[in-house]
Amino acid sequence: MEYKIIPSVCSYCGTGCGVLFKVMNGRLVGTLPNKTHPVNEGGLCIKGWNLHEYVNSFLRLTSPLVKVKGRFHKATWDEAIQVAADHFTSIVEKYGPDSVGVLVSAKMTNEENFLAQKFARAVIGTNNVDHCARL
Amino acid sequence: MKAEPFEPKILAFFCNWCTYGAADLAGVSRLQYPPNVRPIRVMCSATVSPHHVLRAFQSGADGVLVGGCHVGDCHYIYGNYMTIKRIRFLQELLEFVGLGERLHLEWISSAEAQKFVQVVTEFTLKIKELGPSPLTVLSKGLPAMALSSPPPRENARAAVG
Amino acid sequence: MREQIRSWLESGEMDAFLGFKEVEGHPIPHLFSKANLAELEGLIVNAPRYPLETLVAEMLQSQPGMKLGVLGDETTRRALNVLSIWNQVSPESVRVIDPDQFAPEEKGARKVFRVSEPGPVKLERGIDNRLGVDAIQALDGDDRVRRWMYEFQKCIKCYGCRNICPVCFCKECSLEHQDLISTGTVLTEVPIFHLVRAVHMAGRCIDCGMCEQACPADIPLRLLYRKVNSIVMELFDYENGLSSDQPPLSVLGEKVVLELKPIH
Repeated sequence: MEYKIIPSVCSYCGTGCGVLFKVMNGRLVGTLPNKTHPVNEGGLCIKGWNLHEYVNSFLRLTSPLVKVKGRFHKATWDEAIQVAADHFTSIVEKYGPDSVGVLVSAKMTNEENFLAQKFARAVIGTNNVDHCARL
Repeated sequence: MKAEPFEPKILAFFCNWCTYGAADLAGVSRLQYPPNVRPIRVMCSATVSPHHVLRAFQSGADGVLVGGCHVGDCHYIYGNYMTIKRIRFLQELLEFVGLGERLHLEWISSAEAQKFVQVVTEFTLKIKELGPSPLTVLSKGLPAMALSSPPPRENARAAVG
Repeated sequence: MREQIRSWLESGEMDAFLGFKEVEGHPIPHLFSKANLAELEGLIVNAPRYPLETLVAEMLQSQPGMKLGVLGDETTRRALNVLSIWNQVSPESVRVIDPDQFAPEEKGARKVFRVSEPGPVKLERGIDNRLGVDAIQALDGDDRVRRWMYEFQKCIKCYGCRNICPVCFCKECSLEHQDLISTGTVLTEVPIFHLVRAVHMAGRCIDCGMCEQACPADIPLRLLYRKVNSIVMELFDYENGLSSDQPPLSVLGEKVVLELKPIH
């Protein structure tokens, strides 16, 4: 029997509540709030309480999908990124850079968010940048 | 427009074997009783779960009446042993959240049409006295803050600073 | 105490011991076993309360017959007693180790249940989670309804009170039943959500206070369940976790002792 409690941070919103993951025999079985975490002090919302569910969910995507003729097909990361890049390029060429917006997550680091806005402004050429914790 | 007198909505769970029979007998005997009761026939009063009662209040019932066989007369022998435990517990719990006295349990056998009429009449009168269920009143606008006499807003603001 | 646990683990009298260890600055539950005896040095006794009883039940269900020790106190014992009445743990395979018995000088060092302190506006309006059952009963009926409905409508339906509860274990929960509690709506259905839960706490709640601590909306759940417990005590003379019988609302009983409540 191996039972571990692993502290982590909730991956949903920008609040960043402390959670504890219950891991039994190498499998994630449950979530508890971290009672000494300064952010949530032992409380969690319904999403946080069910964090463990999506990890083992059969609906979870484990590889990128590319849509070809209306149907999704499994692809490698390189292929998927190439397809996205090609489409963005064609959209920007056809409708202009302001037809693209960049939404970033509060769960990314400052540096990644900086890169995202840099990508939006320098590469795509738009000021349409937003962030879920802007509020 | 003249204000309508308050006509309570009372949901009643009657057991198939006794109280429903009493209701039938009261009807056949042409006894008069208030029409505020909406009966639901259940096979035994023990099938009435606290959830049903709570759901009734949630859905706007002003009172809930549960009728079963006398102790020892239950068609299922021990069914109403559970009924009284559940309902007595729920009565105390509802009392604590301020909905007390709106739930009533009575043993009425199928021969007791007179008692049925009396219970329904008395319970309807009592609910009329109590007025509409506070839940139906509150559901029109849930209280932002508790208790009846909130201080004037200016003071509240000042207190927050 | 650490030596005692070490010797139990070494001799195999205990397969594993559930206590607390500091990880990344947080005291979190940790399973000590023979394989990692050295970690026992880091055993913490004064941690906030976690539902260790649930962890014990989960472990015992995945590996029945395992001998477990758990750091706990009187409340832990009562929770395990309730769980064993409901056939969730076998009492002989769990041993509760109360640090107070081993280290009386550390007694009271454990962090106790903390109730959130109300601000001035709430205090002015009589909203105070530190109030007792009597203070609520002193209010008149309308004020009681208003008070509780105010509390219940704060609920964000996180199900935290149920999830953290050490004596809640049902696979199918009434609070997730489509016909009783509709899904996908906030506000929760006031008051049915909390009252259904209160009904289910009858004969179970061991007054550990974790529900209130886990509540992001500061609903005085402990107060509500305390009243539930006192009703169970008054009506059925049953004390959760101390009586070894089945709880009163899950057995029919030998005879009817309760009286009907008169209409007036």
